[in-house]
Amino acid sequence: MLLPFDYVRARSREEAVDLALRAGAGGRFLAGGTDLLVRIHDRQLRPKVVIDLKGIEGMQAINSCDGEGLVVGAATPLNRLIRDELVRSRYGLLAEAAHTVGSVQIRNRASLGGNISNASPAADTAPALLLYEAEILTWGPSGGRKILIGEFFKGPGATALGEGEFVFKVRLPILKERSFGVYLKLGRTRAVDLAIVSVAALALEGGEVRLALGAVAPTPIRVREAEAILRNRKDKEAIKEAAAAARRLAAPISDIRASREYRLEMTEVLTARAIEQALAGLAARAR
Amino acid sequence: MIHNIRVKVNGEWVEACVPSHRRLLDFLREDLDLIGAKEGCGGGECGACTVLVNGEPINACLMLAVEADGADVLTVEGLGDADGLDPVQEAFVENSALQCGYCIPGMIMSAKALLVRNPSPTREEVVEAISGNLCRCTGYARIVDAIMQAAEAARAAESSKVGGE
Repeated sequence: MLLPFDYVRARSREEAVDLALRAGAGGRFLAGGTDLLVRIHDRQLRPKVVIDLKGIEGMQAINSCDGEGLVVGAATPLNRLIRDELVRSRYGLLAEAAHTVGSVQIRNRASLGGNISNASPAADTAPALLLYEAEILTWGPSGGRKILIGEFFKGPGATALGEGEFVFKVRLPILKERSFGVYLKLGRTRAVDLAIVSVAALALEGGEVRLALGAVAPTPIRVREAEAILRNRKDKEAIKEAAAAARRLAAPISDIRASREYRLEMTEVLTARAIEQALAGLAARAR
Repeated sequence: MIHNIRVKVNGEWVEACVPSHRRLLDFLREDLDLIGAKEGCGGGECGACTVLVNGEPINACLMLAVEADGADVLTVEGLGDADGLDPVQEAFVENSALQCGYCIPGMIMSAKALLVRNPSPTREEVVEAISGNLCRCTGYARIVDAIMQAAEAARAAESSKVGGE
C-alpha cells in the first residue's frame, strides 16, 4: 500500500513543467518508477502529485540522426536500450552498463533518464555516459537547454536540474573512431545490487583511453589525470600508474556495502583490469 | 484522484475505477482477487509479484494500476487452459521445483517471458532471467532444471507439429 497522491499523465513537455511548478515541493516526475515508487513505499518521499512523463512524445524513442549520434528519450526502459542494435554496435559500453542494473523486471521499467536524474553516485549508466561525453537535453520553465554530462551531477541525489525541469533526452555524440568499452561492477551479488565500486574504460583507436568511476565519490567521476598517463604509453607500468592515479582521485565513503579502504583498494584493482580488457578488446576488434 | 482504467487481464478486458496510488499488485490481488502474484519486499528486489505487462516481466509492486491502462497483463492464473497446465507449470511440478511455493508464481512468469523471447536458453541465460526472483528455500537448482525442461518440451512439441504438417 502506498500513501495517497494524485497521478497525472502529462501530454506535453509544457504541461509537465506547468504541473511541476504548480505542485512545487510536493511534485515528483515519474518515468519508470523503480526508484520513485520504492521511496514512496518506504515513506522517504510523500509527494502530493506524481507527474508521469511517459506520455510525452519522444520520451521513449531512440533516434539516430546522421552526424549527430544517437538521441535516446529519457523514459526509454533500459531493456529497450540494451536490445537496440545501434546502441549495441556503436555504444556497447552503455548497453553493457545498463545490463547490470537491477533485474530483468527492473530493467523493463527503469529508464535512462531516471537513472541519472536520481543522481546516485552508483548509477550504473553514468560512467558510460561520462565516457561517451553525452549531452543531457532538458526541458524546463524557460524551454529546452543542454547540459554536458560532466556538469550534470552535483552530489549524491543532486543534479543541475532546476525547479520544474526534467531530462527530456540524452544525446550520445558520434564516435568517429573504432572503440571498445568495458564496465566492471563489483557488487555483493551479481544482480539486484548497487555497485560497491564500478569502473568504466573506453579505449579508442586513436590511442585515447577514457576512464570513469562509480560509487567512490559524491558523484560518478571521470578521471582525466589517470587517462593522461595512458596517452602515449600502454605498457604494464603505465596501466599500473593509471590505476594508482584513479585510486588517488577516488574519495569513497564507508557504508553498509563496504569500507572506504576496501573501495580504494578495489578502485585500483578494477581500473587496471578494465584498462587491460578495453585495450585487448580494441586490439581484437581491429584485427 | 480516481481514474477510470481499462486493462486486459488474462485475456479479458476489465474496466475499473482506481485511486492514483493503487499499485498494479493491489489492483490484481484485492480488486480482481488474483492472488497468484505475491507481495514479498514491496521494493522490486524479490520478484514475488512478477507479472507480464505487454509480454514483459515487471514487478507489479513498482507499477501503478493507472499506468497499466490499456495494457495487456498476464498473471499466473492466465496460464494453461481447461485441458491443463502450461508446459512451464507442468515442468515445475515434475521437477518438484518448489518448497514453500511463495516465489513460484513470479518464477514461472519470468520463465514464461524468457521462453517466449528465447526458446533455447542456456542454463546461464535461465539463471539471468530469474535473477530478479528470490527463492529463500534455496530451490534454484531444480527451478533451473524445470525451466530447461520446459524449453525442451516446447521445442519438441513445436518440431512434432512441423513434422506432422
